[in-house]
Amino acid sequence: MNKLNNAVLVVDDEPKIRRFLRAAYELRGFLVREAESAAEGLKSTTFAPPDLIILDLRLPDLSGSAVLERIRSWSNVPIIMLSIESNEAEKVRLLKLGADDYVVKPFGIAELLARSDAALRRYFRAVPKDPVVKAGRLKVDLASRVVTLNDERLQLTRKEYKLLHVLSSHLGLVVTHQQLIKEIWSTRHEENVQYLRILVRKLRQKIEDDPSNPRMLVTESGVGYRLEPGSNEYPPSLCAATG
Amino acid sequence: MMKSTSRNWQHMSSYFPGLENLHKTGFTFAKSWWFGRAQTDHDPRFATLMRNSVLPILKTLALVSLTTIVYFVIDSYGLLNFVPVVYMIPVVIAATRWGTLPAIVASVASFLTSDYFFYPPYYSFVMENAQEVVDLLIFLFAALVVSNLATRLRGELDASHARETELSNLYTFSRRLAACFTAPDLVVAIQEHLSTILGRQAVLILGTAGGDHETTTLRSLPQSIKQEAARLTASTSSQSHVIIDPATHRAWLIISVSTGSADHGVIAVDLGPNSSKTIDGIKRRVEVVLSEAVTRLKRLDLAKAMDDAQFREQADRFKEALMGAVSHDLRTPLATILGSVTVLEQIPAIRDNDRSRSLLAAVFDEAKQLDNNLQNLLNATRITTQGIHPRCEWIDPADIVNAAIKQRSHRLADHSLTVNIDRNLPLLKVDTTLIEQAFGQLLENAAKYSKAGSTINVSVEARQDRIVFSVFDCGIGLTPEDAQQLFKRAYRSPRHVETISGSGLGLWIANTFVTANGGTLEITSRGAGLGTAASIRLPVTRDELAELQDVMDE
Repeated sequence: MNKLNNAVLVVDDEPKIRRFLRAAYELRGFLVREAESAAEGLKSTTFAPPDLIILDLRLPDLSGSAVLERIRSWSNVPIIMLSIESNEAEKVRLLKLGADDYVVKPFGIAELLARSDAALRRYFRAVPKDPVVKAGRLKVDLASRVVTLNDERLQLTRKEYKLLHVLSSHLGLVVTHQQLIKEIWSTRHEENVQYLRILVRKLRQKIEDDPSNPRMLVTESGVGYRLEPGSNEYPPSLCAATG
Repeated sequence: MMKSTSRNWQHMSSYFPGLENLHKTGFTFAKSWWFGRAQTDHDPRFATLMRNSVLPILKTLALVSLTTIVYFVIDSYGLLNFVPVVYMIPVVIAATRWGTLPAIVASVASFLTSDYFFYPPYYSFVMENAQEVVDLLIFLFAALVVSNLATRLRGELDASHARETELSNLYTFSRRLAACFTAPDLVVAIQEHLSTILGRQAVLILGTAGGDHETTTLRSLPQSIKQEAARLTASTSSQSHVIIDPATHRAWLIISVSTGSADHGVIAVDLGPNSSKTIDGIKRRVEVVLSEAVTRLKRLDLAKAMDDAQFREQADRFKEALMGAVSHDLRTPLATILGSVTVLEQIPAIRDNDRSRSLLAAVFDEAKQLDNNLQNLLNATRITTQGIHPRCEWIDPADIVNAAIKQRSHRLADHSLTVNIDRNLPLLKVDTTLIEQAFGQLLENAAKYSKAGSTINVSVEARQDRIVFSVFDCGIGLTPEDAQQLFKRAYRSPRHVETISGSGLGLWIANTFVTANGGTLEITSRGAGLGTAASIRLPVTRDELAELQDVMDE
């Protein structure tokens, strides 16, 4: 019995969806709480703060994005949206409102679990214990700014490093084009996604085995990019790192 | 005495249109003198009368004097014999510029001036020579006739200009109409047309269920006008009222019109600042123009266009609602199935059992397939409404291919896939989702129509000013008949319509998506059983690339 098990709150009005989500997270060692409406979800978040929230966009009483906004006004807790639309503009909007990531229904559970882990890792990194981010054979030291591939040091330009830095600090989570452009360039270039595309291509040529078929630096169509961790990254259950 | 004079005037004025104006002018002038100046200051008609009648006469007299002076100057050199015809010039000028009355004044003035200055005895109105009197009278007669003709000619020129303006207005209007898709568009177009031809602000209010047709002009109407308009739309009789808005002290004409269908509409026209004397005149003119315009509108069958537009809007809204409902109602159960299956696969007892694992894999595949079909159907509905509006952005071609391959990975699992993507391809500015879907459809077809285990080749190359995405398979190929019908909606080749399932929508959707992005979709085959080559060609603008390299190295 691990008292430090992470607690996840599942907010969705469909009982069958809550059922398989409960099964999935309990298999992973999470403590699972359920809410079937926005009101219940907000109440649960306030009185029994979870470590992770899985929030559906379509709720009977209030829209998921409104709930997201409210929670974000007082808490940084990782939130993953369950979005039934595959509308890119909507996804970008949710990310801008503060969601850590999203999955589009219907989804395979592996995808949701991967993103949950990534979100939790990022949240707990707020107390930096290990500045080194590992993605497959790529290691990025966020403090010393050293990047190695297969233990060999990589030479990156300033912008290439910055791109990698932002993606690494969101390892496994999607980062929008706008956010990347803002961090890498000045606001002068805010609308110019093509600069970002070229930069990503250059970076892929340096870090990927097959740059035309990237495994690490993955494109999320119409939304942004994601740096995928390798498959050896996940311990079977993730415990709260606060001590 | 007065009566017979008046009848005489009327008799004469039938030959000389405009002569009645002289009558009225004289009368009003006399009246004003009689009743004192105080009254005339408040009468706007007097001011316009001054402007329209008296001023031109003064100008005419000035012209006649000018001609006289010029003649004197020339005459002092002893060059010419006097010919009264020279006075035709001011007469014709007066006739064409200022109308009948000034022309008559010019003729008479010229007659008198010639008599006084140029015929002996000079400087007197008496003439010695009877022949000269006849000459001068002939001149006067000729002057009057010429001025009449000139005035008529001028009148026709003005009328032709007016017709030209009218035609040009109509032309602009019909072009505008051609660009209207929705009922509010039509309303605004009609309003603008009416406002142009009336020279005043006109607002069209329809009493249809389009109470949501709140154009901005409608919002700017004064409240009292809106109320009256609403009342008129409710009643079915055809009426017209003049309403004075207490807030702005402007008079409005509210007139109800029939649009040909069961609906009733109301047109509100701003007549101007309230002043009862002028309002009636304006109102009558407006009504005449309006009735002409409404007849014309009816002929253009605008009622039908309006109905069509409203119907289209309703159909669109219905379709969107349907799409939303279908999407949600079908996707939610699918989400449960897919989610539950993938969770089951994680349970050690099930994962380690081969049989259960393979059964679950089958459920997963079919659920994924259902999802794809649903996506296809939703894509198809996206097309039949007013065309597609691609949301274009810069993308890396390699990304499209990889995303499409990943999405169809289950379909492609039974085939060996080789991928060749050129390095350093230029970026494309297209709608990512649409092109991904189109390319994915090509992959799906390649997998579906070729044997399990066969090879599928994917290549992306830059050729001249295009990027070409190609999929080659070794499958059943196309017959010439297939090749012709391929892009038709719901076409399925008779060869496999029984054996392989499909809706026939896929290529039609793919083709529409590609052409919406300015590209072309080509599918060729060397014949039945000899495989198929499918390619998407998209245009590239190369100039951006060089500029980008500079920004990169900052």
